[in-house]
Amino acid sequence: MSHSPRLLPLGAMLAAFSFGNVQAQEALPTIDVNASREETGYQGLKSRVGKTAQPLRDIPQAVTVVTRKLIEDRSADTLKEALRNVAGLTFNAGEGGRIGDNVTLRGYSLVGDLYLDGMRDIAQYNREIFNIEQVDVLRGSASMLFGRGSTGGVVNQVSKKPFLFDTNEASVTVGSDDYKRGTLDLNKVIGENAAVRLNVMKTDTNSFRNGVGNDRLGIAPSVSWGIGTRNEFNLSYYYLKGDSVPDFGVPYFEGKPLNVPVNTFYGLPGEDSQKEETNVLTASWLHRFDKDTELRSILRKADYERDLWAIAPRLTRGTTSINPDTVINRQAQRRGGVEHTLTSQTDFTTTVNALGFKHALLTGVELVQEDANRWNVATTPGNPSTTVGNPDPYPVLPAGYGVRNRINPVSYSARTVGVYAQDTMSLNAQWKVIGGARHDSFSADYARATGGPLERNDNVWSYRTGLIFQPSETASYYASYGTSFNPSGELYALDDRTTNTPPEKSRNLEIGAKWDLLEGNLMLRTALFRSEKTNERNTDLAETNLTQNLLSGKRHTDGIEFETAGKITSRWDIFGGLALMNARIDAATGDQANTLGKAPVNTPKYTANVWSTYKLDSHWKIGGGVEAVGKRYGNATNLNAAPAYARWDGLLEYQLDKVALKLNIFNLLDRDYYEGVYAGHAVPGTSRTFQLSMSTKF
Amino acid sequence: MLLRIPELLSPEALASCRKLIDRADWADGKLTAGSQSARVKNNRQLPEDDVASRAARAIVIEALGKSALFMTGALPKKTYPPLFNRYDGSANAFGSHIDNAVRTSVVTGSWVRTDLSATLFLSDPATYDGGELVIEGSFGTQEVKLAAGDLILYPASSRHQVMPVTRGTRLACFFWIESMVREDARRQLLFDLDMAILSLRSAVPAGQPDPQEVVQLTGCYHNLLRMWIDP
Repeated sequence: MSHSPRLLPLGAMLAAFSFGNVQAQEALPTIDVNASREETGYQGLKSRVGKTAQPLRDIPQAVTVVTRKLIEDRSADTLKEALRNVAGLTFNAGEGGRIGDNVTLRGYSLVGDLYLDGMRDIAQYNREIFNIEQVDVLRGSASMLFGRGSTGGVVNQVSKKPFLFDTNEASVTVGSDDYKRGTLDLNKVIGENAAVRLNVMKTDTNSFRNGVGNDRLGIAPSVSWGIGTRNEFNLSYYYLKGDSVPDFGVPYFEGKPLNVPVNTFYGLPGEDSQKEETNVLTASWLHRFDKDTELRSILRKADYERDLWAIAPRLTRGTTSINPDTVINRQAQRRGGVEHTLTSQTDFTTTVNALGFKHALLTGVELVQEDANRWNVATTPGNPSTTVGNPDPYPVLPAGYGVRNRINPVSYSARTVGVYAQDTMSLNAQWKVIGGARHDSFSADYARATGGPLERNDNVWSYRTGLIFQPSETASYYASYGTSFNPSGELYALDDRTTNTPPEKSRNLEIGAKWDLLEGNLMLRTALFRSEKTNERNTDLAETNLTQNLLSGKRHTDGIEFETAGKITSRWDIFGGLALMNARIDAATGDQANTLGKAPVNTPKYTANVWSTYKLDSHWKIGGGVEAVGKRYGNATNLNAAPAYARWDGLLEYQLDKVALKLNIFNLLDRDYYEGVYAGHAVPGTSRTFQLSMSTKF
Repeated sequence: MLLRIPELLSPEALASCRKLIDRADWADGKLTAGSQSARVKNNRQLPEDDVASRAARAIVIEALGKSALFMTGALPKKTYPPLFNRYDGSANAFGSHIDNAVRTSVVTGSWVRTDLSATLFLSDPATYDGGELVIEGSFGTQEVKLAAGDLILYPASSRHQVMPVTRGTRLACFFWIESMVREDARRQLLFDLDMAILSLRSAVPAGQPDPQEVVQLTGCYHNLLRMWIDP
């Protein structure tokens, strides 16, 4: 049918017409297309956290997927905020040489277990979310896939990638405490199989804490070509700059966070700063031999810089009573560093039929070169002290304050060569067996100002095995066993003892189930696990001439987790998790002897979170949720603890054709609570705040 | 009414569409089935929020928007975002069923009353055996197997099935339409009238005004529409 415009059928001239919420390009002018944004839900369907793109039901470990939709609905603006949705995960307050994201999962620190697109993102910085598509949290030991670390699990951030249709989105948010944030996400097709994407972010905010603030800027361009063809390439760059007034909260008194109004800040807003700059350049090539066989190579150069000039508030040792005039000492936290990593990963995946079974094979090589320089900054002249009840944020400072004299410089370099292979064998339609092994050769050199150089070489095997039973298309049951290891030099630190100490060993035993309910719209999973470190590093004070740390420590975490994600009805979305944990230090000697029988740091008996939204009609959506966390200890001697809390959040959204307006309220009930925990201090969580955002698709 | 729309997708659009979905990750088709049809549904589908599915859907929507025959035949008020299915291997058939009267979009949460069903064939019929769309209606039983790029529109009130694919792969796009004219017979009448008027008009030399009778018939079309339409 080919007609001049005058000769269109009459019916074709009618006006009202809608393709739901899908945008048509260059459609007839008579078509009224509702172009509002297309939504995905809270249910993550696939993950590459097991190296290949897999349905979650084929991974024999607990995996939580935080989807983009959940991140947006909750107005999460950092990785940390996105991780609020992960049961069993808690936040440590910064200190002890660490800057930036510092989380604990299943009772074990994830300091070395943060990943970006499957590659270790170990540097110390506060991670943003503007260029992240989803966050995958794999629980339990997984050194077979990731090499060193991963005792509690790993967090993998999945970057946004270009795709083959044009869409642009912009959003601005304003809120309490002068919160201002703008983001831009542009995707454009530039050729038959090529597209570019650009994400930009600027955030500038103060805090409910008097004097705390945060500015950051992020730019992330990427280009892909050959999308969906035999050879697919991607080139991406990620830039993030942060400048904040860091927050070390309040000290403990009699084992609890000091009882002062939660906005009380003991730092010096005019002087304190944390500056971070991150540059990540990544190139990848995916070659598809056929439908089931592919070779994926990724090369990444990442550079990170950081500089900290901050204050941790401390009570004078032996303080027995508190009044407004009690002295608060301002302990200097001054240090900086640069880190550089060069990583190459190559994975080959294929399926073959052999010995009468179908095998999905994965094999790969990882090469990593890591270099770091760290230093402290001289703490003289000292910080003027203040008082509990009347902190003076702008005292007269001594002459010479602010001069950054670097001291105690150390430099570190490490090389990793990891080789791994895994077979997922389908015995029949219902049973799968997984077995895999990885060999890591890890060597670290450490140069310091005094005491001479140190080095450490380790060769370690890691294993993972699992059995999956899928009696129907809606149920999957699994049992798995995995090991992991932590070499002494893994976190860019060695000393005279650790240089002679072999790696710690850990293992994770888990059984679990994953069900698809409501015709696949709602996922439900549960897992019962034991995660244990069988030879933790301990020192023995009695043997002062020992050159080796005793691997005499032991600890375990037993737990059960429940999680649900998806839709109860087409209007009603839900995401929720519950983790019950019982963690204990089973053996400790030397200067750690007083931790025997205690609970590990920041490991509450329970954490629970629920978030749910309901579409009232095609315009209005309401939502709300609660995050509940049990009492946690700030130190392994269990002397300092942050109390349990429950925080309620709410959402109201109004959706027009092209524009969405969203109001998020955090801590609706305005309860006081402490979310960041460290040995010497606890950091309060937000008081009641609101954010109003407007986003548009064009 | 069964209405075939030949070459809804141009060869270029068809190639782009195929390239997108050939590489996509297919899921079980029961994800969108109602409880009756889930018992007989044995195929695979692209998840609605899959990136490839979204891009391929945009191509189909663009083609629909440009198809005068589709517009006049369906008189669409709302269209469910098109989905994609695949029949091959052990997931190769969809037994006799009737489509749910109302589809609620997972994507938008808004609903569509399914007056019309549409199937857009995406595989060259020479590349697979079986896979006929069998429609049982008041007009008898029809077997439909069209060229790649062709669309068939049929009343959603009819029972239908997809015969087993015994060789090759049958890829198709499918969706539902809520029409401004709810009853199939009335839509048929309007379509016949529209086509007759079009035929008369095409006989008028370019530049000449339409004859009085054509203007009158056009008036009849619009007045019938006025009586029946639910825009």
